[in-house]
Order: sequence, then structure tokens, then C-alpha cells
Amino acid sequence: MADYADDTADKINDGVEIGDIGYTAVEAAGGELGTPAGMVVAAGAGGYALGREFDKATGASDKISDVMPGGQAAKQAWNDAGVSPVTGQAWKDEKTKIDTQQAIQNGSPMSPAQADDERFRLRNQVPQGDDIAAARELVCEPYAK
Amino acid sequence: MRRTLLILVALAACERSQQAHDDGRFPLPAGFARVQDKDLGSMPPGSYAYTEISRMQPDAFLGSIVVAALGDQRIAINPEFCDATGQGFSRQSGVIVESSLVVTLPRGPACQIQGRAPDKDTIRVEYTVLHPAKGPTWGVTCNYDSRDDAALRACKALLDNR
Repeated sequence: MADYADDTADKINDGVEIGDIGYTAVEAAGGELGTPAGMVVAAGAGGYALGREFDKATGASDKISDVMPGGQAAKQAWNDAGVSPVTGQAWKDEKTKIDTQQAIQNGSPMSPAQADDERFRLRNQVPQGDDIAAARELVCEPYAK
Repeated sequence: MRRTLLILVALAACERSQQAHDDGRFPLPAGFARVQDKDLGSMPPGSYAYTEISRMQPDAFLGSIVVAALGDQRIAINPEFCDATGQGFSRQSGVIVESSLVVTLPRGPACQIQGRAPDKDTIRVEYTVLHPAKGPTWGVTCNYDSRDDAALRACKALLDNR
């Protein structure tokens, strides 16, 4: 089990797609992970974050969307866990993140919330390899204009 | 006769609405409303949430129950898993975890993490990883005000659903 956890952690650190990290990591206590990372933990953290956002609403469900566009806090929880809720795959494309952050510092036309959305989209939807470069272009292009 | 029949049909419908959906979904608790799916942000597909319809008092935290679909993969529910999940949950959310226990719910074994918000003692959070004998695993997060007995009852009623 520990070997598996070590192996898993290495793969996460290397940013390699390992498939169903959410579930496999849950069973892999120990190693660099130290704790079950992934879907189970992220789901709880996401649920808690969402609950805090719901609290900002008046209580009527049709008002929730007014104060909770996209569930930002939940997104952050998933992002922090490094787990894609869409595919169950772990992503750690630090370079893309840094590129985006630098673009923001250099005078991004995006608001912080938009930039956060973009980072989230990248992290969860962009395939690896060549497509990352394409996605980076997509994110950075607006800043260059 | 016809009226009696109608009443019986209506009663049967009421009973069905208290039971779990065919897909294993937990029914809407009393005093709560279903959140629109688009407001769930990035929760996994198949997840859903309920929020309390009104606050118990103006300064109270509005209760919510978020049910995350965790897929069909088998998870071993045991004290080690619960402890590690509690630690991860705390690290991830900032929640101050007070206990993590293996419990047996009507649907099957579960790991229950209880804690409170880092910034306000009166906001309670209970995260339950429920592993039914068959069907998908669920992660149920109940957020509620410590003074809000109705929200706590709703959370327990939902988890006690078969």
C-alpha cells in the first residue's frame, strides 16, 4: 500500500495523468500523500465551501444564483485538492498556472474572478501534451492584445 | 368509493416521496429546498444540494446539505480511513475537526467527520462518506447553525434514509 502511495504521490508531483486518482488515493494512506487526497476529501471540502456560499443567499433557491456565480469557493476547494471533478483526473500544470498569474500581474483585462474561472477551466478540461500549449495560448492571448 | 380510492392513491404517492429515489438519491428534507443544478459549480456529475428555506433567526447560519456523487468504486470504511479523511478535510477546508468515526447507517457503513467552522464556532459541519452495500458512494456535507435543531434533524433524517 505504501509503495502504491509513494508511486501515486510521485505521479501527482510530476503532473502525470494517473486516471482515477480520486478513488485510488483514498485507499492509499501514507507515503508523500500522508492523507487520502482526492475525490472524497475534495467532495467534503467542496460541500462545505458551497454551504458557506449558500448562506450568502436569502434562502430562496432562485436567489442563490445571484450571489453564487459558478460556485467559486467550491471550485477553489476542488482546485486545491488537485482533482478534476469532471474527469477524476489529477492535474498539476504549474507552468500554466504561473503563466496565468504572470499575465494577471502584467495587467490582465480579466477580473480576478474571470481569471480564476480560466485557471479552473484549464486545470480541469485541458488534455496534456501539445494541447496544454494550445490552451496556454488561449489564455495568454487576451493579455497580449 | 371513488373518493376513498383517490385518497389511497394520494397516500401511496406521499409514502413514495419519503423514500429514496430509484437512483439512490436522498429525498428532500422538510424545511429545505433543492438548489438548482447550475448553482452547484463544480461538484461531480450526479451531485445535488438542498438549502434551508429560511433562517431560524436573522443572525443564524443558513443550513445546507450537499450530496456529492462519489462513483461506484469500493472504499474501505475503517477508522484509519476516517482519520485520514478527517485530516485531509481539515487541511482542505480549514474546518476544525472534532471527531471522525465509523458509524453504521441504514444504507450501510459510513465515515462521519464532525467539526466547526474556523471563523465561527456556531457554524457546524458534518461530512459523511456513505458506502451502501450496493449503488454509488455518497459524500454528504451538512452545514448548519449550532442553534438550529431543525437543520440538524433534517441532516440526520436524510442520512437515516434507506
